[in-house]
Amino acid sequence: MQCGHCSLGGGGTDRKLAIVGNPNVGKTSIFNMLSGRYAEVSNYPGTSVSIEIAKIHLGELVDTPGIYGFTTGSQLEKITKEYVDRADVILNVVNALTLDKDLVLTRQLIKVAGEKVILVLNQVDNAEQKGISIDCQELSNTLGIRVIRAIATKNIGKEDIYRAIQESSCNLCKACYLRDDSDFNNVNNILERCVTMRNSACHASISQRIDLWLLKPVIGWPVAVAVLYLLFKILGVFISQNVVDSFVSAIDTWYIPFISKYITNLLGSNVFSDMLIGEFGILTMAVKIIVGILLPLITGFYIIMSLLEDLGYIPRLSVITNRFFNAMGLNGNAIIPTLLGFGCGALGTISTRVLETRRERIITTSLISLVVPCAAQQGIIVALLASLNNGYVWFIYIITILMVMILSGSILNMMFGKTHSNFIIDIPPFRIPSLRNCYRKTVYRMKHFILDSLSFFAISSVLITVLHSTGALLWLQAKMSPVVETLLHLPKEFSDIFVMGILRRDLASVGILDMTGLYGNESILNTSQILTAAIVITLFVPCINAIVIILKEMGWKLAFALWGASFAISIIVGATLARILEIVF
Amino acid sequence: MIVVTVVCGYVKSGCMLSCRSLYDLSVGESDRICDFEDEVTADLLTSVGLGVGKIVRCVFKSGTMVITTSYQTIAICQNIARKIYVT
Repeated sequence: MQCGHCSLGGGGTDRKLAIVGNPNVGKTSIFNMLSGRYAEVSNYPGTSVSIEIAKIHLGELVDTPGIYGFTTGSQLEKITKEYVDRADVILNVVNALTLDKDLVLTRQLIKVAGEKVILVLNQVDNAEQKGISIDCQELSNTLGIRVIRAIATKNIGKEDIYRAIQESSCNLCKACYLRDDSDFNNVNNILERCVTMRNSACHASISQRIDLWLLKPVIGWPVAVAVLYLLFKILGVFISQNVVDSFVSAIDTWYIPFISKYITNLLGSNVFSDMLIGEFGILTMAVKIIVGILLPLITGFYIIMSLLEDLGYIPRLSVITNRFFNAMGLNGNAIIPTLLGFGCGALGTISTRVLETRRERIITTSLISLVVPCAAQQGIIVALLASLNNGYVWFIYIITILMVMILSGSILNMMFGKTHSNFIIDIPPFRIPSLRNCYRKTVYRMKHFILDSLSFFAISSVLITVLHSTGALLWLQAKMSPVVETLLHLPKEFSDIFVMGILRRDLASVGILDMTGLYGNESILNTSQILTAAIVITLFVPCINAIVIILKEMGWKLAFALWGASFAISIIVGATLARILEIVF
Repeated sequence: MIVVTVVCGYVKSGCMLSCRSLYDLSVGESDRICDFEDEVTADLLTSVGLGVGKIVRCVFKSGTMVITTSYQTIAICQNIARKIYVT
């Protein structure tokens, strides 16, 4: 079947279907509902900063990043515009609660793509709960496009959307452009025609009332500190001291003797079996680190982050941290990539796309690379410092990292020319976190973490075993001795940590953990050395995968500069701190 | 002209309006948006659903300003808030 207006067939699987809409309206939820796949969903604007593609029976479905319009020319707008131009059908997702805001983009899309646009009215249940009733037929007539009601989180509206896509290339054209242009150009006129509100809907919501308190720094900051403290209690106390301990002892008691015996029987004792089951073996050290130590720690971190993201706490945090980031030429929006950087540096770097200018992106990427430890590294550092049972240790660690952050941020701000960074954010209402979404998000992130880290751990196990068996590790230790022993006042074995740290910082952190004797080995570090080591490795060079992402997003000059700067800063700060700590402890 | 400008507060596109900036709203006070200082600000505000005629209420002000409309809570830095006029 061929349509005279748009020359598209009625069906076909080669059609391009683009999901487009404002940030935080539920585009990814619609994508997940239609494709049956899982892409990350959160309750803050800017969750998706890249394209997700899935093949469905009606064509190729593309989830684009959220944009407000095509006027600012930002990177996200360019990406989305590219897909809008190529799409055969555009699913414009709007939030039924914020139609006045979302219809601005709808109008632009209709001007650009006309009959290709299908309006998906998401979260109609929330709107109805708040007393807002939308006349879909009237809205469809006014806009001249098809309007579908949906509740993506409950899988409602899926079949209607499929049907609308199938019919879009023919029937829609006939129904198109019945609208009166003078009405169409004014969103308020559209709303007056199609939306009715009960009186109670005009009163402040519970979410707005909570915001009155939470957005004030006097209350907002203590709440933020309380959230961090909770994170520490769960990760540093419960998980690292109970869960990790049980996992590590189970691996030491059951798994390692079993696998060692099996491999020795199979291969005998040689360099190859050493690579598999030796001190740094892929099947011993790598498994112990990934399964025994990192898995429980980062699972805990990701669960808490998912809950906070779904609750809608992150945008509130961006408001109270706005002034802090202003000092570094940034604004509160920088908290989103920074927090995601606490999950993974590479992810944090990609999320800087939500920031408006290249200048802001460079400063934020630099800060993430320099001072933000990833989830795995963070979990280990929390475990490391918690084991010292000394409040001062925490104080010194946090103050040092904050000082480096503020100093580096201020220097970068001056280097790129001080300007005022505009801050404006639409704060989404609080939402009760969906346990299903938190579970799916945690599993999704864990899967990526394991796949991503496995190869690096295997490479580093092989590399260290080769260096160890060829005597190169001893040579390296001797060569690095001036830096490690003389400057940082650390034992020469710390050179191994540097080698691991170049590949992955979390791997290096586990090395430090091993040196403290927390999980069975004999300790070779004292309190001041543990603290110095923790700070050096927090500030150390970004992991290889983070560098690759920086290279791709920002160019090789910044990637090289950041690598060199991180190395220099970690040594300078570590050397200074080592001398101060020797006096304190 | 100068006197009228001072009295009225702002001059935009040659027409004088008895407006004040959004940042001049006190906490708890509501007002209607009447104009923006420039197109860039207008675009930025449109992106979060704020346009001329919208009634906003100031709920918090200290460097960053937090305003509410019927369903939205929006945080705006002082710099932008000063470029929005209400009456």
